[in-house]
Amino acid sequence: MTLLRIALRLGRMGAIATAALGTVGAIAQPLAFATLAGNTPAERAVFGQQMELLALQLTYLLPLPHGLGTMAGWIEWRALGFLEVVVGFWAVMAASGAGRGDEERGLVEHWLAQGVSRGRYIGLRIVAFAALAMAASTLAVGAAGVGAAIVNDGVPAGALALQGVALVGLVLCCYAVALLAAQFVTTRRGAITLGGAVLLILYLVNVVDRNGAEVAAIRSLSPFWLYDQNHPLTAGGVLDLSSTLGLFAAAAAITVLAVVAFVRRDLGAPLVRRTPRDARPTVRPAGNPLLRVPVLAILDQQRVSLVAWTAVVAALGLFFLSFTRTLVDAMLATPSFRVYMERAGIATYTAFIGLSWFSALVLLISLYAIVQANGWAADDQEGRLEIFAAQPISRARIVVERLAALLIGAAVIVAASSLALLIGAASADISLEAGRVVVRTALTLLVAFAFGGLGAAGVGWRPRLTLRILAAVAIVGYFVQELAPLFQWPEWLANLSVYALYGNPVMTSIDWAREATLLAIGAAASFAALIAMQRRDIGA
Amino acid sequence: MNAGKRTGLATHALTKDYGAHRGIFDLDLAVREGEVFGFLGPNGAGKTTTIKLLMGMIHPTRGGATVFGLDSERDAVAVKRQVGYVPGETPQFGGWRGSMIVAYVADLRGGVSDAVVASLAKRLDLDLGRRYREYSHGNKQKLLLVLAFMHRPTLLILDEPTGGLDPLHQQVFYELIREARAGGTTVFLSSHVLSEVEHVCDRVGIVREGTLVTVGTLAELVGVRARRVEVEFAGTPPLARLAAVPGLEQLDVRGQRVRGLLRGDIAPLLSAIASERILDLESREPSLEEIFLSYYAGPAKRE
Repeated sequence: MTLLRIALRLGRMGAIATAALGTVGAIAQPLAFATLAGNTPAERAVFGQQMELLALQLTYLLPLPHGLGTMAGWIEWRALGFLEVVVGFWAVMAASGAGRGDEERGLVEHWLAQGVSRGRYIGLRIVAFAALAMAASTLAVGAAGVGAAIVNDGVPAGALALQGVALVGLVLCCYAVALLAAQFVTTRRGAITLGGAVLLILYLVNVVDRNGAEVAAIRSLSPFWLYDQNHPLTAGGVLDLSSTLGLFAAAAAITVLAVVAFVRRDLGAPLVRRTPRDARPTVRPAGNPLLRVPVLAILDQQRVSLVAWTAVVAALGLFFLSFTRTLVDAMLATPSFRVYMERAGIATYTAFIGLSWFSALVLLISLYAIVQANGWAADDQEGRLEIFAAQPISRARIVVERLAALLIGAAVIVAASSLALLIGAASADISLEAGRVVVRTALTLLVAFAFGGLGAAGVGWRPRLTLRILAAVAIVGYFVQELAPLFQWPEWLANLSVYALYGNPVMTSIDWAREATLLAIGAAASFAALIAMQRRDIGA
Repeated sequence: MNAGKRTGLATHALTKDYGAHRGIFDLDLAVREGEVFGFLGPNGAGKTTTIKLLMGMIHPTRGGATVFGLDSERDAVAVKRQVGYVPGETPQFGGWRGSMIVAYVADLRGGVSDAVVASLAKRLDLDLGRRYREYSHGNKQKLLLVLAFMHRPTLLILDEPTGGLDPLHQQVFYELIREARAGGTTVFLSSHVLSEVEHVCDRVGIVREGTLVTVGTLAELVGVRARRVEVEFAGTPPLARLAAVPGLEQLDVRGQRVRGLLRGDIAPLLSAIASERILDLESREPSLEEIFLSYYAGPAKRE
């Protein structure tokens, strides 16, 4: 029982984040539907037809639409559809932690040494995750029901519950795949990479199928495809029995394989060992000159992740531009969306890019800063900071080097994204002013600086708490900025978001007062970080 | 043997109070230049806290420490320039190779010779080409020793430095310590391993529940401070008189045989048993282990 409690505790943050994201999204969408779709059946039918055209452009992110002129169809597509990506991500993170992360930290060895059998250990981790998955799914589908009830357009609770059942099946299947993948690598990072890659491929199989390409032979391998076959909200309140059973059967079978693999392999070793290379031993320090240059040494240690961040963000920029024209055209053709877009000031390609892409970019950059802050906290918790601080360098230098490395890394990422955006715009025949894009891209570094400064200050104070606070600041700030124009929230509320200080790029002129505020936040937080680092105890 | 030498490391009422009687309290200590000082104590006695205070990793509640006359807080950078440090817990460097860790730390420090690194790694039989996560506990400890010795420091602060080392490489470590001392390096090391302290230390300090209970050379601790005595009486042992003997502690009565640890002069004991018929009397110098344990037999003096 104790181990189950520990397993629940270890998984709680991911579950809370997923449930929070799912609940906020699921409760907001019915409200948005009531605002946008009109009140009469005729208005809603027109809205549904127009939205289905739009939905066909979004199959990479959301399932195929069914009955978008109804609240049930809207909830199924928009409120719960985006959860596929969210729960897939959560499953990878949770499974990599249970399958490798806790092993890396020595916790698994400790538990097994207490007499817990391997089967019992991994079984309890799976049970704990299943319990958390049910709780998070229940909250999300429940929130959708509450949202619909608020606008007096309720949907059948039974159908919502069945959708929740299918969602739990999807989460468990994703978790099982990621857990099995974790048995083939030795580190949590490797488990995230392998498990994430496998799930991404399975997701893309479903995306391809959504777009009508011929993948019938393999599509049933994808848990996302199996999940997509269920439409209890729009198809008479029943589940597609075979696909749902398939989902749970696959989850069970893959889980059993993962358990067997975990029981059979050596702790700390992959299931399949490579023959060790007969490398010649060395007794000399590495000759890499970058390791001997301040700041660059930190970046050199992060080179793989920095390249990955740069490539992914640039690819997202290109991808975003590839459908911007079609998407904007489709949305402008929908009267109710046109009103929303005009109200939000994004009724042109340039303005849409300005709002959508740059708000995504600052979110990604703040996520990058949070990841860096997480690394700083890990330096302390894992004893590296004590080794560095034992060298004849000031504590201030440690803080300054960290922030400099963060800003240089962020600069590399946004520079690549800026280039990708301009290339994508040119190929899509969208006119973007290069100078303005470059300036606005460069200004995203102020967001990185603000988050980095806050992270550095917080890590010097309460490392674990800081990461949660930073994540909350990022998520709440993003949603406030996104939802404020939709629900016509007061300006002061919107301005509470850190992202509001960055402003609405490309279309509007730069509000230097707001940018200076971001700079001031970063500078003040960095100063606080220097003081906190001086005053704090290291390794205590 | 170090009389007349300058003080290398000194603490003045050094205190770190974590509350609930945890930490180190009013530590007054002086380690002379070129001396090897052993800091003994059980888990939780305050050894690591003391070492972290000396390294400036944690800040004292009151009091302070100096290293070669420099304040360990105010002049932390200058102090660390002279110090080689092995922490009590092995850090995690994940997938870094040993050679990368050495190169990175050597750059932070500056003035490290690759040849010295190579020599240390060779003597400790450490392959720097392997990833840190692949190292055994002993190899991780060897890497920490390389990092501590590679710049030929004038002060070594070592927190249980032989943890995880096999006996062969413990000997290499002792050689390194002897060579460092011969070169004038001051060494402050904490340890649980009494034989290790006997091997390399000139003086020993014993800490208990955050308080320094004694400091002395091994000769002082072993030869003067206490001796193990064992008396076998022909009749019933005179326990009341024995209990009244000044400095006689840890009385262990088994039938007619009484064992104890005597601190100070033996004459009061001989007077106390003079009227008894004695079958056997044994008095010997206690081992360092017995000395060490003798300081943990009674309650702590600190309130």
